[in-house]
Amino acid sequence: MWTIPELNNSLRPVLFNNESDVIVTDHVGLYENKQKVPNFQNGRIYLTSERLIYVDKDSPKKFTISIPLKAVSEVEHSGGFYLKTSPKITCFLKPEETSSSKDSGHHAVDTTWICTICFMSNTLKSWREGNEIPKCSMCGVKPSIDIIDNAVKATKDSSKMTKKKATVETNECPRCTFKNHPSMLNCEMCGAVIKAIQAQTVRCLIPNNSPVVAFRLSFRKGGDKLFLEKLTSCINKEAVSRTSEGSRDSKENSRDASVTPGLSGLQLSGQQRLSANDSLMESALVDLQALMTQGKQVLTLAKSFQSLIEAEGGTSTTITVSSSFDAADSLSEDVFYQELSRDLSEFLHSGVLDKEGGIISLFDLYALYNRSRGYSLVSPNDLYKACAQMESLGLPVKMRRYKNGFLAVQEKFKTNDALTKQLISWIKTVDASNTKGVSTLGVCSKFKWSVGVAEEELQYAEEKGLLCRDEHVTGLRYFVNIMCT
Amino acid sequence: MNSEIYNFPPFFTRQPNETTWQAQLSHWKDVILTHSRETKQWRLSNTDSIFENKKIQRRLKPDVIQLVLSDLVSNKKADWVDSKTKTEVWIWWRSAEEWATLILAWIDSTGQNGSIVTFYDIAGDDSPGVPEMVGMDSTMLHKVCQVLVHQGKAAVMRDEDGNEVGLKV
Repeated sequence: MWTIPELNNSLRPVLFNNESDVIVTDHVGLYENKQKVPNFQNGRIYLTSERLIYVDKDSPKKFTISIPLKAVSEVEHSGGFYLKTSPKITCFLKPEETSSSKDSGHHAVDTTWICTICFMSNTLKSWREGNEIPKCSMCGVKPSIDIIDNAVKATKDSSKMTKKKATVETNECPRCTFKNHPSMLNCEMCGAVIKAIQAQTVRCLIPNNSPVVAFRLSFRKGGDKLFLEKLTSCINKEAVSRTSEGSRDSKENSRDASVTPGLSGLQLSGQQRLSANDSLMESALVDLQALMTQGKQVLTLAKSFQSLIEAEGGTSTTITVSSSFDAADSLSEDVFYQELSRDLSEFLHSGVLDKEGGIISLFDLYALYNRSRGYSLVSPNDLYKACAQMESLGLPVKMRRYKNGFLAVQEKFKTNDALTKQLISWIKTVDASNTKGVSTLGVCSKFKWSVGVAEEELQYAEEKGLLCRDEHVTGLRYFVNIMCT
Repeated sequence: MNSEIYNFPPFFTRQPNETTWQAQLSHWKDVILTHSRETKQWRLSNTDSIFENKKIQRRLKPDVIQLVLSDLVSNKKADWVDSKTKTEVWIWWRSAEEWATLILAWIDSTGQNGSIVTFYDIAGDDSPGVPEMVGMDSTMLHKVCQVLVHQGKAAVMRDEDGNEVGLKV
């Protein structure tokens, strides 16, 4: 039931494709049944649309655990005595499903059959014995029952075959279909992550514990009410989406039956898509609140148009959707800055920092980050506060303040002097005779720094007495200092 | 003269870094003193050609020249010609004390102890006693004499008009 989730380098859990953050609360402890779980007593708890994830504060790499919301059946809140026990949320788990024998003969089967008249390959969904025999969608002639029976038998056989196969060769690459050795995590051919390797699962956190029926979250510093509210709504949503999945399937089936292939079918589906887009746009633009909630859908729609525009030779600004961290309003202030800080770190490591030569001014970061968010923008003050925390949170980036107050964010492992050393050695190779010097712009283009950063770096080196300047009508140039010897 | 420094473009810009600036000043001092010694230059004005390097097309700004001259004065390597306008200096590429010892050495070596020597004998155009001092201005000579007087090794001789003309050792 417990699984160990993957963490990224800013120590946040990696979310699944359709998963999104809902709320984060810190200072949370974990209980299994009624016992405290050792080492899981002070951390952040992430509620996402699909999981509950605990990340420990002190050693997040070791003590991180997640549980899918699917496994939770009921939630109970206990207020806790003031000052004595913290408020707790108890989550009862569903009894674990034993893998039932699903493969019965009367189970519905999806198959395809080929019309004897026109050789059209028809699809047949959830066929059960005794159902009405469908017509061919091309020529409208009913086939004989034998044809359907044969087709069903054939699919059953083949599915059995593939099941057998699947147990033997589980490690086929989903991208290039190369069959890897079972112990491989990444495809040997193309490097893709092989999905077959799933996250490690843990049955219970406390060794030798009785079967887990419930776990508790203890909110040491409050935040329980809001969390409970979000949690129950998430669990309800989860349940609704699961039940609706079935009904949606049947709806699709009925639509499939009504839609005929061919030109008219294409036209009809086009019209349906148009009207769906239309209704989405209408409902989204009713007011801004609606836009906020449907922002994701609108963005995907915008993206589909973007590809269209590009195909027609036009240019368009790229829309990059930042990670799903947009639950800003529901977080307490501290957690908000911490999460923002982590999100920034992820953003910087998604290629932004490399593009900027490993160091980026706070102005540029502000502009780029907000552009990538697109909506619910971050204020400059919030950005500054988040950046100031980077070092204390142990992130791989840190904020650096230059002498005259200029702020920048850079990789943590690079010390100021290492950067200067790199700069000096480059100048020495470019201007070996030390007669021409280098300009700020030259440094910018070499190290891919912004002008502000380059100026600050040069001035820092000058302050250290390693460089000296030459002011001339042709501009300011920097030389390796040969006067201080 | 240290030509590497003199042909180094940043040498003609006042360095904002204090340490570098001090090093730069001391390099300027060396450059000026070496140059004056080589060319037997006694006066240096703030418009002197040494402050411009035509080869690399750099010149020192007037305010920086002033700082360089002040630095020379404060290091006792020069004296203001006019301490009010401060546009020109006397250059001591040898200090007054060094000059005094040179004069004494010449007097000793020629056995003129106790006799009177004129300034013309010491630094005149016609077989001077200390050839390096040829062309030295009377103001500077006066200072050298003052050193000797202070050391109690000589007395200044004056003519009828009260001008200093020689030394009695």
